[in-house]
Amino acid sequence: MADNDLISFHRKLLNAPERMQAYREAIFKTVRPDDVVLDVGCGSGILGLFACQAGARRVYAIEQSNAISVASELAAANGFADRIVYINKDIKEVHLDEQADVIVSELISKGVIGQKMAETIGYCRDHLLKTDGRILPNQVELFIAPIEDNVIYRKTQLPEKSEYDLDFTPFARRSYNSPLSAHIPAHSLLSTGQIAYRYDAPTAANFDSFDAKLVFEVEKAGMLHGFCAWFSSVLAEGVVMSNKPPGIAAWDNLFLPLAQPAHVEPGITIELSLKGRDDSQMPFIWIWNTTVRSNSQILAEHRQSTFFAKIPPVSAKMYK
Amino acid sequence: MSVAATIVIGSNIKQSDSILVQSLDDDIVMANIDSGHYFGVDQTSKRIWELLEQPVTVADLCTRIVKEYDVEPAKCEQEVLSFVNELAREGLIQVVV
Repeated sequence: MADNDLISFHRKLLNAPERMQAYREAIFKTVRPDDVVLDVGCGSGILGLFACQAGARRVYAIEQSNAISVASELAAANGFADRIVYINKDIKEVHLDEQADVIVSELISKGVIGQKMAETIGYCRDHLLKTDGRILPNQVELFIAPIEDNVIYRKTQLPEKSEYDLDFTPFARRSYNSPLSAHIPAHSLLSTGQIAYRYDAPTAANFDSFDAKLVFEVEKAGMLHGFCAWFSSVLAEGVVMSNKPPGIAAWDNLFLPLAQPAHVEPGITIELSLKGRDDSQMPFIWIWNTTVRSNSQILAEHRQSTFFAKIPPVSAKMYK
Repeated sequence: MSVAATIVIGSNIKQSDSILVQSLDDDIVMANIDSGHYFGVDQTSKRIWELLEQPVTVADLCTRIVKEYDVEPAKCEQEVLSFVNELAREGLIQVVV
């Protein structure tokens, strides 16, 4: 991320009251006086500052980007410089002289996966946390719902051939296999959202992976343009942060477009086979296979994936 | 249908339903999201991959390759068996029962 984008990103996060209040409340509920806290992917360092306010004896703040300079300045400005150790390394290269009582992080994305949360937190849990340590957030759920929203859908479209006498079909295929960030109004939902993935920090495997088969009963007539994904993050007991539609200031929603819009109405079912994976080996892969069905008749069927939108890495094993 | 342990000349096989495939220039690239591995098939192996789009026995596959490329049948059978068994180990093809 370029420095200017980094500043914009963290400014947006710091100016989001729902996010700030939820994290502050959760950290005050979780961190006890004299605790050692690990702030993973600390960014501007705000979670570590809250931990100091809550009484942490020591905070180890890990961050690979240049944001660590901002974090360090904020700690000094607030009188916490002597309690926070900033480490500008990959988490797997970090070795501490003491184990942490608490891990705090915000390695979440609009649709939960995208920042290797399970891999990173899993590593910290297994190597840097006391056996009776606490993890914040403790649980994260991924919700998804079919939506009608032509304004957002149009952002995934390319010009028609007639406009410039040019064929944009190859790019169009990549485009409708690329999720989009957007604030999606709650009234766009055609069915109630369902849980596709539940991440449980104390027990989760060390990579984000889900494979959900969901069936949505259409609740109101409209054009199915795709799916809205959002998270619900349990930061501490009774403290939940969610970007449920239309999202919050810090977090908008993730839109998974449909290759071709389909008319739906009550009585029609939308079957969604949703798979995802996110770790160093295979970052941010989504598969969303959709079948729109009226009784036994298939009205529309699409197989989509972020894989169809991007060029695979050069590490691919070649068969010659 | 199930993933093949060992594929023999009479096995009926096809591309796995659970992998992701896309054409990229002259090559084909694949991803197995369960194993977390990416694969590529270049022009030589591409024809075999294309023939695996529909269920086919290894014997029929070899017959097609021998006919199209004028190769020696025994050598073709040996190389095709080796290739499809590797694809099966990586979960890229499945046996059709």
